[in-house]
Amino acid sequence: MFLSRRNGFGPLDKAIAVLVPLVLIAVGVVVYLATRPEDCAEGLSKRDGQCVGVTDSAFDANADLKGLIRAVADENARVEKAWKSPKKGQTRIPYGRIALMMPFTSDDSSAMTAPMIRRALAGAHTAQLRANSGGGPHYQLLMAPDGKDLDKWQPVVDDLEDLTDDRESPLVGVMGLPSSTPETRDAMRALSDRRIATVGPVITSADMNAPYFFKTSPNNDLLADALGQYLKKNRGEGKGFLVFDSRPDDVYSRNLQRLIEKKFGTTYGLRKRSASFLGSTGPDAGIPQRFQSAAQKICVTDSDTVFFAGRDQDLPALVKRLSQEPSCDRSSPVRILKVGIGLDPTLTTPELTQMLRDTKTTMVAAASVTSEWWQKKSTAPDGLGGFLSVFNKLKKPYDLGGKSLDDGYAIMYHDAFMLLANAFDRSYSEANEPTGDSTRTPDPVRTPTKDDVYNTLIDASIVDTGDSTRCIGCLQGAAGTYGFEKSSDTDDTDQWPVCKPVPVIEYPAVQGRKAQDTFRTFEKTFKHPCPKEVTRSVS
Amino acid sequence: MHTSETPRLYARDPLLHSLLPRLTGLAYAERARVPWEHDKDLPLVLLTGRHGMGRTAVLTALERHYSGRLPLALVDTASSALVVELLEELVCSLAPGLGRRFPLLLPGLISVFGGHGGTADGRTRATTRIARLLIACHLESGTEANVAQRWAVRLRARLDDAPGAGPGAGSRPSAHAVTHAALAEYFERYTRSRAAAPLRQWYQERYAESEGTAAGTAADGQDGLVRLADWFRRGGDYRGAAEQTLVHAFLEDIAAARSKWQRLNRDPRPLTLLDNTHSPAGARLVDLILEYRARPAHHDTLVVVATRLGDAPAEATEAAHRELPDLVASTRWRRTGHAPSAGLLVVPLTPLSRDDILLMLDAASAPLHPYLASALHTLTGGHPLASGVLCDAVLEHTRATASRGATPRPPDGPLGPRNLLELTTADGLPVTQAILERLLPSPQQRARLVPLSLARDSTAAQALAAHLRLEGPEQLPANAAADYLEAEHWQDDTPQDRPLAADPLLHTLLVHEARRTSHGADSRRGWQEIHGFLRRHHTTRGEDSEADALRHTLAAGDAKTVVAALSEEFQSEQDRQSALRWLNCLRYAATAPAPPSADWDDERAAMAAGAYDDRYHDIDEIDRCINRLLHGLWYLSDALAEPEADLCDDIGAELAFLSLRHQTWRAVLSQSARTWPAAARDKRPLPLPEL
Repeated sequence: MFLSRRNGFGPLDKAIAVLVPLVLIAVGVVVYLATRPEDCAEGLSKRDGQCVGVTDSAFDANADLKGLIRAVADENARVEKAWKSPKKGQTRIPYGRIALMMPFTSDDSSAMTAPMIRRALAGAHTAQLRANSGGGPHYQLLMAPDGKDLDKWQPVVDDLEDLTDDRESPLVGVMGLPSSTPETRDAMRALSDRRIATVGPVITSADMNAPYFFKTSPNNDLLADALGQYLKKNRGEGKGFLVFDSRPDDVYSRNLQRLIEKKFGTTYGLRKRSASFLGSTGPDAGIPQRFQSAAQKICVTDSDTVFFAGRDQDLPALVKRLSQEPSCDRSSPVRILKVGIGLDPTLTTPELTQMLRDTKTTMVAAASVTSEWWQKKSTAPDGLGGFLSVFNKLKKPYDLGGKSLDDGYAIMYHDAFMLLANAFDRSYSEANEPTGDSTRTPDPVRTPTKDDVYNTLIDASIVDTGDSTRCIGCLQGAAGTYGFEKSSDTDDTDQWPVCKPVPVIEYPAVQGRKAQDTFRTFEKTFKHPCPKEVTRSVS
Repeated sequence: MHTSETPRLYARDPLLHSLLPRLTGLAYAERARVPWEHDKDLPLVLLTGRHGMGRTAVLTALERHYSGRLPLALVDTASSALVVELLEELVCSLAPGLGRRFPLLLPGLISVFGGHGGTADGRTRATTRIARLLIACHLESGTEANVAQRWAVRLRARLDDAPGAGPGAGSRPSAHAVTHAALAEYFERYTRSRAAAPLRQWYQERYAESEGTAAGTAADGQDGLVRLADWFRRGGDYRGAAEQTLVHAFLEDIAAARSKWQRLNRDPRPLTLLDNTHSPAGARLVDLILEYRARPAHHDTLVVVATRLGDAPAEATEAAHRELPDLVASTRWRRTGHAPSAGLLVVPLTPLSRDDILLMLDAASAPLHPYLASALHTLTGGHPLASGVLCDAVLEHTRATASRGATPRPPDGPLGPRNLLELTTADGLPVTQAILERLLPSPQQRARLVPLSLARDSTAAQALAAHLRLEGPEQLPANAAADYLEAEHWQDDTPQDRPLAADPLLHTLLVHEARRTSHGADSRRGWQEIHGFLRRHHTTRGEDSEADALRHTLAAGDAKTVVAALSEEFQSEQDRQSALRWLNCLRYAATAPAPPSADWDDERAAMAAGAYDDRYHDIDEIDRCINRLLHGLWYLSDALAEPEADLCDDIGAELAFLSLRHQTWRAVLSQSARTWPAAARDKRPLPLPEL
């Protein structure tokens, strides 16, 4: 241009002076939007810094989950491809979707610890692989992170509801919901309101009930009954003590404390002998795991039967405190009674085991699973073998650890998936039963909906034949063979498992004790005992 | 120095800050665009005024402020005799700022210059001009001499190679051949053949009507350009036509150089400042530009500001005239006729006001006499040059007086209105001489006019010239001086009964110069001698010249004789008519210039106040009264004198006293006693009572 800008700026100069920065800013914005690191994977959205939602592909979660999530995502992609664009010569295989709704991230106070999450996902993935290796429809395992504290369930539930409208590959149901907290209860109710069948694999609070909410583990009431059965045979000295988690909003602990007080309060004098502590799970409300007073009281009162109404994470601290408590006698044995899904590996560390032995303390746990099953194959449920054969293959690549089954999460999540998958299989078969001359329809004429799945689930599976109790369409799960009773006004099982075996574990194992009868849930409601050999009806 | 690097211009703001920004589109003193007043058809602004009215100063100020901000050319048209030389200067100044560098005009100028050197000196000049053009248009780089030499060598080679031109040293190539070679050199070296074709076509079309006649001499399509050079050589009307073609090419180049972007972006228009267009070449250039613009749909974007000594040309009847204050908001100029002069916007430069002079004196380092600005304005009439020189001299004097160490400058003592003309400039020149040198450039005529300005009218001046034995080529030196004044546009004509220099400022300056350069009482050219001669001259001319005789007597310093003459008349005459004549005589005699201070002490004010009445105890009270009255009027008639209230009132008192002493003049004299003091206070001419 002519000379310098000493001759001022004309209209075009000014237009350029305005437009060029605007264009640069616009380009910058576009480039930024195009290249900025994707916060959340497809299907997820950011809420308070956490990615929540529903997705079938890989996303960022705990570092040790990467391999498993990738494996699930790959399997999901394979399943989708088998339906949408199958390889030449292969028929299209329909598929359903089962959502795993639980946290995929963790920290010190989160609802699930990182190992728990890993085992739960491994269990669900095992079930997915098993279901997809057989005939019938295949399954995608949708991952639905709902926040480490379970409090971001609302958007997840909304997303899940949207998926139920899919006619081709519908949402079969939801599983997960790991912890008995108020948030879980709200989520459960919201899902139930939307008539989505939901399975809680590790829910044990007896008041976690909703019409569409199925549980594969026995509730605290049933577990306490199992403990009661145990205590009948092993009375001890009758000096009880109750240690309970004082968090008022923890549904699980409150429920458990109430049940123990109801069932054992009088017998063991728990009203006068009890101590509370602040559990480590939940929002910050003070210093957690202060067991000094509890330990002192236990020792001073010479209690030999300590009921623990809290979460497994807090138990090691109590054991440590007890072992350090100078006022303890240590001459007479002490039992710590607890309920749970299994024994968390943190409770069976060599260090803790040594402490237990030193203080002559035994943990007595009524649980959904027991390590005895896979250590002594004779006692194992029928369904465990099939599970182990797949699960053991995953152990090494995903570094699941030596005691990966002990806490029962893998098994219970596997069973939850199987429960939904079986129901969908059965609904699908019935809906597409060959009617006419064509023996097989390549494409499903009718895909079962979530309502069909629910109806299948709720169908009474335990029948009384008059001289025995038979199980029709029961789940032959890795944690036993059990079914569900149709809800009725008089005898309501509230979608808790029926005839689920409840083993009582003693740890460290007491030498020379003979085997005891395994408690079966709701067995007393039948005239005849639960079937020993339950044959799964073949679909 | 007392004058800063950028001298301020006073009372020219409407021109600098309003009109020119609206024409160029660029503010005068700030970096801002200004909306154009005229979209396509631009007026040619012609600034008119006498010598010293600041025409060139306006152009210089414009150049200083706009230079480097838009394509600008400042050309003194009086410096060249030919329009083509002015065009060359314009091209050299404008080309660096333009996007397209005169592709149309350049071959035209080269063809004209190429064949324009009969003599060796002329050839060198022509080659230098071509070299300057090539450098300005970025076609060549290097020094002027180098480029000129390269051009000459290549032209020489071309001429030697040309068929028919032998290598013999003696045979000089014809002008035709030189033009041919120059054009061939230009087109082959500096233009692409594709670009050259439309240029040739353009020139070809200018001479379409004469195509058949001279087709034989033309070759390879250059005939239009060759004929242009040919016509230019022929002179007269032919040269006029050639100049017209070139000016049109110039303006079309200017218009074409403006890109669409520049137009939409409102880039400032190129500015051309033409000084002294009363010169023949300048006037011709202005006429040709106006002629081009008068054609329908011939618009260019060149802003032209021209100056002209005197008034607008008489033949510019359709020109629009605007006063400076008219220019502030809008010129409201629109082409109203088809005459070329309709494109002219004449703006006469006006004198400065008293406030401007106050501002000019504002920088004084010491408090000035309160009446000084007024006296200066009365003396100069707001003439910018005279005011500027005088104000600078005043400032210089106050500065020199303030700093003790500096040598004292004339005048000695405190500076008052009376000794304003005795100041000197920074160079030590007397101010009157400095100003006159600028206002009357010819030293010979100036030397003549200085003594002749003392004469009352042309006849007296003629007689005085003869008496002084002023010599010159002309028969009548006084008439020659008058003609000179007319030529310099000081006046349109010189009436017989008026002084030679009609302009009051010029007259005052000339008279003072005569007083300053007086060689004493003995010299023939002395003040006394000249006035003595003029008194005798008027005495011999008859009754009507009595007042003149008295005036010159007074100018010679002989107040006593004048008083005696007036007294005698006062006491002898009775009728009222003679009363008026007496008053007129008194009034006129009192306008006599004061004698040189060398041989006369100025005691007029004191005399008027009656301070020296004791010297006149031998005369009666009426004579003493007339003496006081005459000195009072004489003092107040001086343009530089402050009309002090006491003095003016005294005039009334003296007249009232006389009115009571005369038998019949009572009414006339008492009326004058009432009116004259007021007129004297306002520096108006003293009114004669009506009968």
